[in-house]
Amino acid sequence: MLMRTPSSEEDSERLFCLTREDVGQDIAIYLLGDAVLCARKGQSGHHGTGVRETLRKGAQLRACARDLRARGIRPEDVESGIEVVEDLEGVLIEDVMEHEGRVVSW
Amino acid sequence: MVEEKKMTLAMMLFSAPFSSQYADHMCRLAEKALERGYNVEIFLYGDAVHSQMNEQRPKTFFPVGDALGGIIDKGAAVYSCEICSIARGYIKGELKDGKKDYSSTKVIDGIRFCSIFGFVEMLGRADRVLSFGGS
Repeated sequence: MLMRTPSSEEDSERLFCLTREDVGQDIAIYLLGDAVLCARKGQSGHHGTGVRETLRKGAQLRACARDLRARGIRPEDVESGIEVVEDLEGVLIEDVMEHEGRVVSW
Repeated sequence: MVEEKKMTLAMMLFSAPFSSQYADHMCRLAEKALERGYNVEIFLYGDAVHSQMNEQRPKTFFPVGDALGGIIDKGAAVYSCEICSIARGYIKGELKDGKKDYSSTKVIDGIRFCSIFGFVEMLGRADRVLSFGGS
């Protein structure tokens, strides 16, 4: 559950290093609030690489549609493979309570 | 027929309202969990205890106070760190007739004060734990 943007390259490295190993299928990342800025496509540096690598490894990335709209990010501006979800809080709660045992919050 | 035990979601908030959106996210998620029939318990720690202040009137920000009150009305248990609340002037917490004085005119109805040990007990009851803020 990511609620902020990485504030440095090192921070970004920490956030996305979880997905570096081949455990991608078991990871879902929820982007809320300022974290939806990570969903914008075509970003460079660790930030952009982290998102694309995470998707390539098979992890699920879901971004809050309301928070994207609030920041002027249109669906066509979102990195391909990231799911834009209207009721992200509802989906997250369902996932956390019924499927996921462990949640890391940033 | 044995009634299935409802799962409990514990949420900890470590950041003040308005200076970040952590409180907003926590309130929205708590509301969704309550809508789906889960038990929700919340612990406010550090500057997060400012979320409990009554009569908040944000003009454009997410109304954290109203949201927290609504969550309590829907059945969530919201605990607040007594030491953090004493430090910020919400309660006195002094012994009065053998009990700690948690009376306050400054907090939302339904807030429960407890020590950090109450927080540990809350974790013990939880099936799932989410934390918000603190960095």
